Amino acid sequence: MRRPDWESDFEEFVLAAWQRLRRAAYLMTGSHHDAEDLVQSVLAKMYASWPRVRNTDVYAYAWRSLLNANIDRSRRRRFIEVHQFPEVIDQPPEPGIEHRDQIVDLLASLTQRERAMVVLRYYCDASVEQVADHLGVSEGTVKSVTSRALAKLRVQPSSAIPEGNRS
Amino acid sequence: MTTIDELKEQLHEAGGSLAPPDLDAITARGRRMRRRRQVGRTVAAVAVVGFSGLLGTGAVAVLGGDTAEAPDAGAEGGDGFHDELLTAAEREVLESNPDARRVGNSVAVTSQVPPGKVIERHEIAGRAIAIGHHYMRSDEKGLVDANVPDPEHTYILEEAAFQGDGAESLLCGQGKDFEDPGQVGEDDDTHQCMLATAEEGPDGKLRDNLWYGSPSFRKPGAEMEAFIWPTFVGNQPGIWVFGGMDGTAATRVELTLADGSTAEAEVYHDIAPGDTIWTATLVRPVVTATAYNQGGEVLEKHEFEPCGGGVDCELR
Repeated sequence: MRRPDWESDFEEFVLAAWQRLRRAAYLMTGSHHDAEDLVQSVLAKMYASWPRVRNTDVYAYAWRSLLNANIDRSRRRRFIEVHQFPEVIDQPPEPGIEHRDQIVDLLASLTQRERAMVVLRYYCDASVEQVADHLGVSEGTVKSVTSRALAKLRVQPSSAIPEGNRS
Repeated sequence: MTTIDELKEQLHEAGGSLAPPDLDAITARGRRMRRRRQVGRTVAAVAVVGFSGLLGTGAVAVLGGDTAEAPDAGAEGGDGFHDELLTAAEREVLESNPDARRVGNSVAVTSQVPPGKVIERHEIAGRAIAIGHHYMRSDEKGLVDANVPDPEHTYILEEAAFQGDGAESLLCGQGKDFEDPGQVGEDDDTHQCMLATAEEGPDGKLRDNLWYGSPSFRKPGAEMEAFIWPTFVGNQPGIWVFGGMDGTAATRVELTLADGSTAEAEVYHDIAPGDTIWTATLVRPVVTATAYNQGGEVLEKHEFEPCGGGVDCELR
């Protein structure tokens, strides 16, 4: 099958963005398996729309897609009255299958939105403005929700955060 | 108490070293999506479903229609869901706790399931239709209709959330209680309805049962959301397939089954007012679904994604 002209362009993007998206997905889902599937799904959708997407800020598009895909994922897996099982992040470690990090266990105590903000802000080094833009909320909301999340994580909210762009 | 810098360090180290991307898998998946979109774009927006289930052969029983020849029952994995999608913890619970039960790709401990929340009338977007959906459980006898009491077994399901002989209903739930506080960005659809099933209790009220997908299917031009769920057809295992599409252009949905035969789905425009919901109960795997408008034109044709290998087996 003949490869589309733009496919190498897409593959270059995947190789550049993979590690960051993949780790962010792991932090948000708490599961390597879910993270792998989530990021693959996002990138596959981007592939399907690449001729259009490539002319936009592809990294911003990817982050936004990842956040929304994670929300859809959690909805699809949810049983309204049986929260303890579908939420993979709440499950105990699976020895021999998946090593879970202490930080992932801590993140499990946060709401989905708090987790997303912490990951964007402190893993991706996104500015308050960028987080607000990605999540479609006000900057004030980002500050208050992030502050609450840090308190839950027992992190001192004192360090200055670089305002540089995340890739 | 840790510092921000320590938090950032932990975030960057989480997960250890990661394997490189599987470019072949990503692009193959992307090509499939691209093909589907191209098919959909040629006409309008509607949707379809398919199923790579492991049910045996048999005839078709559409909701409200007749059940014909029965499928092979009790084959391992015949519920159409894959064991590899259960986590180790879920498998352990399933094996060790007699109250545990497989529900789709998750496990629920039935004694912990509280009575479902009553769904108020104003929280239902349109009409709730009775679907007569039955759950399945698996034991040494094979697949068993979980709604039918079995005195020979100790783990009969009598939990409040699923009890009663009332019919299950399919509905579109909406309202503040169904908002997702985590919903963000361009998919902010918190006031739309989500497809759900609810059990009619002895008091005649509908109670929360299962929720499916997101409200995204109601957006103009959106792809359909379609689902497959294990159920019983008569006393044989089967599948319940249903989907939501934006708009009311689709008047017919035809399902093509693995053996090449076809079945008609029931099409509703009043469950999610202004949009289309279709549903069918089958005893054979579904491979494609095709939606037609009143003039008989194809609105969209969709091939089902295989269940397994990391593919979400609920939403196809």
